[in-house]
Amino acid sequence: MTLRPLLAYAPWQARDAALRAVAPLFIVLAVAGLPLYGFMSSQEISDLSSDPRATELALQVYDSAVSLAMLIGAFLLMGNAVAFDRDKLHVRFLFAHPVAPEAFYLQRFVVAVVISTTLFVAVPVGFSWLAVPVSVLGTLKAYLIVQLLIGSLAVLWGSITARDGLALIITYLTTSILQQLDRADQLSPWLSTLSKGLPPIAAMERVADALMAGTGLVTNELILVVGYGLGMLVAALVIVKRAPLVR
Amino acid sequence: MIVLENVGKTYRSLFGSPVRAVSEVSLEVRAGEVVGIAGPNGAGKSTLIAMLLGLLPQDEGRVTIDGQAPRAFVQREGIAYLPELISLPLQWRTDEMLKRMAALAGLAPAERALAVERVIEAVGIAEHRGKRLKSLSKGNLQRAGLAQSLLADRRVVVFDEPTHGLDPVWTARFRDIVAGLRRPDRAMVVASHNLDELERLCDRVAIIDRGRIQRIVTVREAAGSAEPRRWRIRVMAAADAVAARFPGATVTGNDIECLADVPSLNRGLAEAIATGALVVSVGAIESSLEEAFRSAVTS
Repeated sequence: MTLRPLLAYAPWQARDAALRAVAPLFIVLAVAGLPLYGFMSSQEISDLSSDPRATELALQVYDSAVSLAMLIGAFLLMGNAVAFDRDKLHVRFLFAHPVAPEAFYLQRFVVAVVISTTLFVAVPVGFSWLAVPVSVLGTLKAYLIVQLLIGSLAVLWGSITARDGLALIITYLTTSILQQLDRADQLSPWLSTLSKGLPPIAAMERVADALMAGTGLVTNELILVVGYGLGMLVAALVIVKRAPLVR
Repeated sequence: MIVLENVGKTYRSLFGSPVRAVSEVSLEVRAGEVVGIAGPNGAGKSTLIAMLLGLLPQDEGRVTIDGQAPRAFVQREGIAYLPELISLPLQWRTDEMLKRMAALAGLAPAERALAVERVIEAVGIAEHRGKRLKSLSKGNLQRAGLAQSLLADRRVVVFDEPTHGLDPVWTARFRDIVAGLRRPDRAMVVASHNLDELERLCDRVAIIDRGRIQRIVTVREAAGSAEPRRWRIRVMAAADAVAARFPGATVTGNDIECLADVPSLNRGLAEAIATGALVVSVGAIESSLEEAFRSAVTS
């Protein structure tokens, strides 16, 4: 195997990723842009940053919209990647060529993260220009962290089961609830241990919030989230390499 | 080149009972050969092909291509493969699909566009190049699938039900394409339900049923084979005089059946023609694949 097929296919991966990465932009537009525009029109405010209450409201709306967009974006970006190709038998075409499946999906992941993060620049830049100044770099770092953890989890489930979308949602919700309860000391010892072993969703949310706010970042949590995300990605690629590509 | 030795595969599921898909399959496809795989539905053809491509590991035995594990071979040089179902994203346009596959095939940038044009021309889908795959008819989709398998020059070619959905004109055209692909360093495998097609395309056909190879039928001897074969010679007259040149020959009207190797056949015919015999046709009496198939599958 040479790198030539993968390099040649990279623009197609980028195009596919760009099409999927548009969804988070629309989410921000729908969840933040339209309500704020309505608020500004009804209050006859032309500059949100001129009014402290309006600024605070705008930033709250921005945080909510970006958090939702990052999450749904990550679900869409890598959800269904491996499982879909296997289920629809695309693998028979893709991997009759001199391409290693694990390298193909690693490339898809990297290209998807790079393309979607690049496109997501439009969100903080646009918001800063049209509404209230926000940290462009902070938002992008938060976006990257969410893509890494949720995207890796999506690839991992996709490498294991055809019902990866459902598995991803259940994992996200269950883990999120368990870890919030654990933080509030409301879990039995064994459930507490279990929740600590699950993907660090709660830590990811705290890290993302801290990166967007530019304060309160806990380095240990950042390392945990990045390490766990990379670990899941490697595990997924090992499974892709070793498990049958057709069932 | 392709070697399967005592290959076995069992599908296991959490709740169902295990299904033995392939048992003790041994088959060799040599370079320069076209080998068919025939069998009823569920016989194990698709499992066998998935193992050949390295998409599915065998539980028992050994599968190698050019001495390597199938996946290693495919990742090193690729295989020309036409699956039974053209299972590609249907929102892709025909030429987009070919460009994507040409990229994955590892063709140099300058070759890619040329290869795409070449295969579009070869399978006659120029008018459909801008259409999405979902809007193609079954036959055109099959031709698009065939086109992608022809993009790169591969040493191993695997066609699974290649004429599925093709009209008679394109079925014949497909046979020409396969004939053009024959090469001394290339091994080809064609799986099909269509025995007539296999008989026309292949040198040997492995008949598979209930996961086992029931019989391997030689449908075309390699050119220049030294082995004696049975021949049917049709003459305009003087059949007895021609038959006399071949010991053990039988005569029925103007037809003579005899056993001879190629040099003896030519020598005998030359002598007969020199003495005034008018030969109308000469053909090898080959085993009937259909007869062999029925007997193998029902036994």
